[in-house]
Amino acid sequence: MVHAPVLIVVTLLLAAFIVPLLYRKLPVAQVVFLLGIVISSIFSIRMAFLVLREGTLTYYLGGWLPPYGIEVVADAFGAYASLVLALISLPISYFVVFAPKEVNTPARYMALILLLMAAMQGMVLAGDLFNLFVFIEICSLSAIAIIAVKGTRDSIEASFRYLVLSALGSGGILFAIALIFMITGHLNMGYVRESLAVTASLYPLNILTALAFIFVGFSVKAAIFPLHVWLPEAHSNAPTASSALLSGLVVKAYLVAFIRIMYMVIGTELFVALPLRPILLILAACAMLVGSTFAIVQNNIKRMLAYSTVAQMGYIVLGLGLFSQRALEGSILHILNHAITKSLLFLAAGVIIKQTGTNRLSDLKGMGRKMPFTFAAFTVGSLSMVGIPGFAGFVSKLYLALGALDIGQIIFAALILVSSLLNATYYFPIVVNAFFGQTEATHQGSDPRKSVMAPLAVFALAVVFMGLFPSVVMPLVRQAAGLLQP
Amino acid sequence: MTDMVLETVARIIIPFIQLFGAYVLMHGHLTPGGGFSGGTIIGASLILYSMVFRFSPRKHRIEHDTSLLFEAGGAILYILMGLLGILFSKSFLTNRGIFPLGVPGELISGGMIVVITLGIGMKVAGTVITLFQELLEGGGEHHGHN
Repeated sequence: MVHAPVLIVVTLLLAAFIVPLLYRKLPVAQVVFLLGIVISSIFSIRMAFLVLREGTLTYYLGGWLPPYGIEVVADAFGAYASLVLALISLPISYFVVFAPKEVNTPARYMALILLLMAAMQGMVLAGDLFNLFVFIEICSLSAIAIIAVKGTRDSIEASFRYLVLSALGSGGILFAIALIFMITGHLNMGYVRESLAVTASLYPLNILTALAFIFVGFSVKAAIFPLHVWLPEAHSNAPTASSALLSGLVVKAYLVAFIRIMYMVIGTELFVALPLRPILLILAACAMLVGSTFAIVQNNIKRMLAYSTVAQMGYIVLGLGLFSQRALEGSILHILNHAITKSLLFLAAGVIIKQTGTNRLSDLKGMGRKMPFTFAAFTVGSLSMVGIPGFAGFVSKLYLALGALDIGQIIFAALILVSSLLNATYYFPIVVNAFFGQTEATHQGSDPRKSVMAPLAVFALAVVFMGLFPSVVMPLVRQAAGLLQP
Repeated sequence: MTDMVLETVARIIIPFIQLFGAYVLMHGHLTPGGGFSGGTIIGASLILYSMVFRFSPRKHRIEHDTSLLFEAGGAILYILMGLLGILFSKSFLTNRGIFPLGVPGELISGGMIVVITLGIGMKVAGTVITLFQELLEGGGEHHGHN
């Protein structure tokens, strides 16, 4: 029996409970923290290889079989999402340990990050709806806590707003799960799927209501366009590592859970029968345009990046709505590419703010010459966001555009182009001004020490690598996209 | 400031509350209740204790570490119990075949469920008292726990 699926979560949980005990011996706590993340990532990588070779892995907790026992399912999509979470979390946790402290309670902060990682891994691997909900709740609470832990007035206000909206979303999801349980009598995803094939037509109203609540609940959590209002404040007022985690991983983990419910539990037949695709497409289009437009007018670097996340989530949702094989592949690939790129950008922005003491874009003129490596990393991220060939973002956008053309939706291919142009209008001026703008020397600043730069370098290399050799992950992405297709 | 009536009543009542909490905890696999309810009852008795006999800051500090230990220890106990299953080359959280199951209905039966309930009870009691103390201190940031 392969224990990897359950050990991924258990390792993180165990570390999460050991770390706060060691708050007096911070170096030991940091070692435990890194060990937890690394070991769990090793399990995750091993699981991805196994799934690629042997197909879906299932694990029954306590040896109890479904429908009554708790099942952990690592299909290609879950394994891919788990791999993304693991790979992105490694450099970020290195940053948490070695970057200058932004929080007063580092041991608690590390414990919260471990808890958050455990919840996200559980969310993408859970095989039944109730455990999925439990992990969603853990994820929400720890995500809120890693914003509030900064302790400033703004961050507490932002996290409180996030808490209220997120709780509404959780309520919606729980209600939807109850409705589904009411019809089917099962919580196990596979059994619900089988049962829905028969019962969905008998109780159309219940299914419709459940779908609406799931959609709205996850829209809030994954910041899908009109319900993204909490995101810019929350992501920009968090500590640097939290911002990277939240923007890079947390919203995507929710989206993965949403996709799993929509495509694998509700099923594509129902999905197509309802007007859900047009809704997804329209919301995605709005997100791409509105998110970018709002990003243009920001003068706070982290707020700009946060609005950019709203736009980028639009890309992923667009691929889901287009529903062609290549668009789905683009969406799934964009989950990874955006996670790498946005983590890079947020870490770079955090370093810039820390070193210069300003978060205003207008103050960064000429700073690129003072801190060349940090801004070089930021430039790599920007190029990937805009979608310049040779960088990660280009590949997934290309797949999305080709997917749109495959089913004759030229307008969405055009939309991707327009949105990329909008991206260019807010990313490139920063880079150009930083390197070629006149130095007014209002702010001091220099590159931080090497140990702080290392995660940035790793992410920057990963962006270029994914841009040049996307074929490394494509087998898993194809398999995942194949699962979502009917 | 102390109050004789409060102190006397608390002295009499706290042992009974804790005994009842322990009863609910130990009978988790037999009767309604279990780790969460038992833990909350014990935690409530500790809150009552700390409200009636106010702590000096020095004592308070020790108390905080203890509740942290209970909180984390309970969860770690649960996870270790689960990992035993893997150690015996069965699946995570396996009960049958590793722990003696005993006669159904007796106090010592149900294998690891008793231990797990105990772990949950520890965790919940620790969490309840930690929450109370955090509220008392008002955030705890300036106290510098970490």
